[in-house]
Amino acid sequence: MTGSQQQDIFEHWLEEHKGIFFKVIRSYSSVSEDQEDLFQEIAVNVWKSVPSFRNDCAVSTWIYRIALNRAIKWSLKTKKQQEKETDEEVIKVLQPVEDRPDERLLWLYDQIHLLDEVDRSLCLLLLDGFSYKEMAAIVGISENYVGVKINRIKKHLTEQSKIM
Amino acid sequence: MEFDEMKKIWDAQSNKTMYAIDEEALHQRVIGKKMKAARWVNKMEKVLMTSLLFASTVIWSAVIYKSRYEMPQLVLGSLMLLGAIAIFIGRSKRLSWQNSFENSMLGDIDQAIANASYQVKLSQSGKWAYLVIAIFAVASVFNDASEWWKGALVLAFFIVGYFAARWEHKTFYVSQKRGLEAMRQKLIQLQEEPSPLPE
Repeated sequence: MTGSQQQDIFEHWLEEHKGIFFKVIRSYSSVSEDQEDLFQEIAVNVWKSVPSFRNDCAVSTWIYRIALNRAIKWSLKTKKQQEKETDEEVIKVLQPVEDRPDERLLWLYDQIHLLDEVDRSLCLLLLDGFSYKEMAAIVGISENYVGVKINRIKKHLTEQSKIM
Repeated sequence: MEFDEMKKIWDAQSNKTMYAIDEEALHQRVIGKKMKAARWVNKMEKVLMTSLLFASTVIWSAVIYKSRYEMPQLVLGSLMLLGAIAIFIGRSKRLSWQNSFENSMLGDIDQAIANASYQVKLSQSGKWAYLVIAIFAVASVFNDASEWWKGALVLAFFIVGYFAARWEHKTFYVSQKRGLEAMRQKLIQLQEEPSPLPE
């Protein structure tokens, strides 16, 4: 595969599945300067993965797998680095466009962000309509365990919504 | 709120623009990275030149003071002096091409990458120079067979130092360069497609 073919495929994926990028980024980082860094990290890894894609799963599944993997690693790394902030000036690169975003959606993102790394991934995949089998393959846990975790997540979110 | 309702709220977001890239803020970030890369390489050059000159002066002073003109010390002192001169020449060349980049966001990131690449090369050459200096330093200590343990200590010091330098090379310089290259790729992509996030 040539470099330009790789770039074309990547751009096509980004255009088709940009929603996945945004959802993962928004769920794993709530601060806009972090979102830019995470977006960059995920985008680079998805671009690098293009030659390895063999059509044995849907593109969305592939992108989710890479994006969640990177987001989990990034999240753990960021936690360690938060206390020793760099000397770089913090600049907001991503700016909210909507004046009045749906409050319920923001609440939902906040709730997802409060879950642990694996539950966050499962919740995203569940909301995006992935099957238990697909979730198990992406996250790397058994289908049964996915079922148990999903039930807990649903129950937790419903309870939280009552005290919203 | 039931989970099905949450799912509907979730599905509705795909049709809305939630974030846009602030070009000016992005340019400020690029400039920040450019300045950081320049600061790092500048500091590295100065530290290397000063330490090599200092070490060379100490070795030459000791040789002249004791009037013991032995080959390992002479070669070591000369190598260090040559290393400092080489860094000075490299620095002058680097400073001469600092203003040759176009005045744009891509020009700024190109300048940052050029400085980071220079730093990677400097660090890489430094590792080889370090090996040569280590060989002569150990050889000069081992000259006196009765004090072999001093040679062993110096050898251990250089081995630890070599691995520390390798770690520094990968952790700071190579990763900084890769990060800047990734950012450049992202900038090109943003210029082709101004709003990469959901609409």
